[in-house]
Amino acid sequence: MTSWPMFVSTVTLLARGALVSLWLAAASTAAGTVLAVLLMAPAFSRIGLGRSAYRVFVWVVRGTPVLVQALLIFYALPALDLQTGPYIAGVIVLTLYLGALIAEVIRGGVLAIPRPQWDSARSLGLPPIALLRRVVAPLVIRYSLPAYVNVCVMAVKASSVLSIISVWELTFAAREIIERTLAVFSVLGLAAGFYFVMCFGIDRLGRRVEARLALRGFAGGRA
Amino acid sequence: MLKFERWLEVYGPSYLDGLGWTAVVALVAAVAAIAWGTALLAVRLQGGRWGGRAVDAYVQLLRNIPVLVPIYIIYFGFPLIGLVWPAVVCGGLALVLQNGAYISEIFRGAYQAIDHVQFDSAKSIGLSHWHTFRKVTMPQVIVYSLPALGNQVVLLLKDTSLLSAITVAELTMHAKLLTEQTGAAYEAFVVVAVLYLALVGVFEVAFGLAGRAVRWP
Amino acid sequence: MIEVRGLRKSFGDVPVLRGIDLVVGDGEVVSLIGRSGCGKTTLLRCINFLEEYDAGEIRLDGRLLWYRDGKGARRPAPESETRRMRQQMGVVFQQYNLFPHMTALDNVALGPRFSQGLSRADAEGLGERLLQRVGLAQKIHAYPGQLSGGQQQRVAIARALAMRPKVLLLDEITSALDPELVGEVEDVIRSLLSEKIMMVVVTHALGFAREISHRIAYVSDGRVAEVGRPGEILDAPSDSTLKDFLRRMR
Repeated sequence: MTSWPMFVSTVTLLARGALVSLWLAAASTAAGTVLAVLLMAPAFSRIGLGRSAYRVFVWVVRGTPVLVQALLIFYALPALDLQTGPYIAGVIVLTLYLGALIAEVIRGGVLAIPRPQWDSARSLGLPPIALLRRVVAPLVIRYSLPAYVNVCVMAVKASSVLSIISVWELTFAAREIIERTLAVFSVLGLAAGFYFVMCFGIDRLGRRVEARLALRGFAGGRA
Repeated sequence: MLKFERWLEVYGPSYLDGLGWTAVVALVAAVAAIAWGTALLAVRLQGGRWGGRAVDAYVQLLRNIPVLVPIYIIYFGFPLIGLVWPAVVCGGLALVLQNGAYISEIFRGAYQAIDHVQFDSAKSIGLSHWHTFRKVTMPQVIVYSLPALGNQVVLLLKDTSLLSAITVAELTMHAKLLTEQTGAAYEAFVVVAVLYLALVGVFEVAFGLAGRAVRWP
Repeated sequence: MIEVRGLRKSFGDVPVLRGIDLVVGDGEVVSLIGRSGCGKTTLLRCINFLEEYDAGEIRLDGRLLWYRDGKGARRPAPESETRRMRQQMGVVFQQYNLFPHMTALDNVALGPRFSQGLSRADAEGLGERLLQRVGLAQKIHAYPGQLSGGQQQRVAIARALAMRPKVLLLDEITSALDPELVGEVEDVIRSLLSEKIMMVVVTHALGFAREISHRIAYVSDGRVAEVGRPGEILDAPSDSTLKDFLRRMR
């Protein structure tokens, strides 16, 4: 870094990139959560076919690198006559990836609920809506919160892979600057700093939320 | 679309080449990462308060940044300080540094789960710290860690695909090249996805067998 | 009154209930005793239809529960009917009864408010009275995590009673408690005896069973091997496996 103005402009550019990464992660996590909730239907379906479809989906998404999924979708969309550009492709990729991860988190949460809680809810003869709203949803949140926070952190890290399919975010911005200035260590160091703040911040925030909920008997323990 | 046999003839070798590289890089990096993770555990155990804090800082740093960042730092940065290494070594080193951090955490969890009475017995028969670590501590830590270790190695395997961004000729790189050469849109990536799934399966089976093998004393 | 006739259930290939016949009269307390794995908990769960069963009938006050005779084989009753039938029974389990994210009052008021349609005020009023009755008036706004095991079980009993059930099903409700907490729970059960509510109690606590039961049924190998008054069952058993069981329990 040769001068103060250059330093400031670099930091500003990286900060904008970080915001884009954060936005990508947040949007994909939100969409992925919706997808994951929808996936709970086949996951717990009485029909064997539904359950198998779910398991195959999760197996494929978790067994292949995110980059391969990104490249596949990035190249497949134009081939199917969908000109969406890298940005939308990137969000689609992350949504599918995070959706599978979050589905497993939610499924784990459901399975972690002790059986007598289900039995109690059934014995009270609660109608389905009240059951879901007052009993099941709070309990699932309670038991899946730590793992969900982990996935949020993974979302930010996964967004960096999108730089390879030309999505402009923090890693892409850092590479751009390096190609111009060759200030590898300082620029990537700064980028690492931004990522660290985001990921560490999400983790701390998650722990605070858990602590708050634990006071009301809401959250479970965290190892 | 070429017929299957012709396809196999023409592109098979290319995929195999990539597959081979991916498997080799993953294996070597996994072994090195386990060694590095062991070293980190040793520093944590023997290094007193500052050793523990140093390892903690290291682990926290590497857990909260995407793995592409260390890959780029080493690949683009080392030549600038006079270390001109092949791309695969740069990438592999980054993978080792990152996964070593996670593995040291896995080992730490396993270590805390082991009955510490053993370490006292070892000390009482006069074993040095180093010997205790080598013969008593680490074997047990590894056995306890096998399932989590298996998971981590699978993650490492998938991360090798990122090395394609620094021109390492592994599986994903070959898929990109084939896509450009043949103009086929995405078929190459489907094939590659299947190959990764197969490779992951092989690693998981291997770890499963290892887990069962060590359970019979 | 409850009539169980010819109840059979297998888990896969393993038969657990091989033909249970049991009658619980109005206001009667029947205890179920037996070795672990003999099927007494499964029986209780079948009575409340927490488990489906393969054959047999359960009737409450003459009405057939849980299944409807359809053309050919019988089918389970529709969901809404099952829910209504369940409201006539109150169940208390060994542990993890209460929902951890709700206060004691909310736990107790939940059923009356959402299953029986009481207003929030009425449901909470009912809840407060019942919590007072089980001696926990001070704790109505406490969360389960802040209550001892014995207190949690007492709240669970209040919650079961809040539904005004015809029968209480109690599944080893003191087995998971530290010994010094057992007494407070047993006291609450004793206090219910005057209300003449039907109770089916699965328990290991033979002394307590002797005290509160009108009859005790010894379940062995999926059948009711012997049933009778506490004095007969505990002091002068006929069944040989029951004799072994009692000897081991001393």
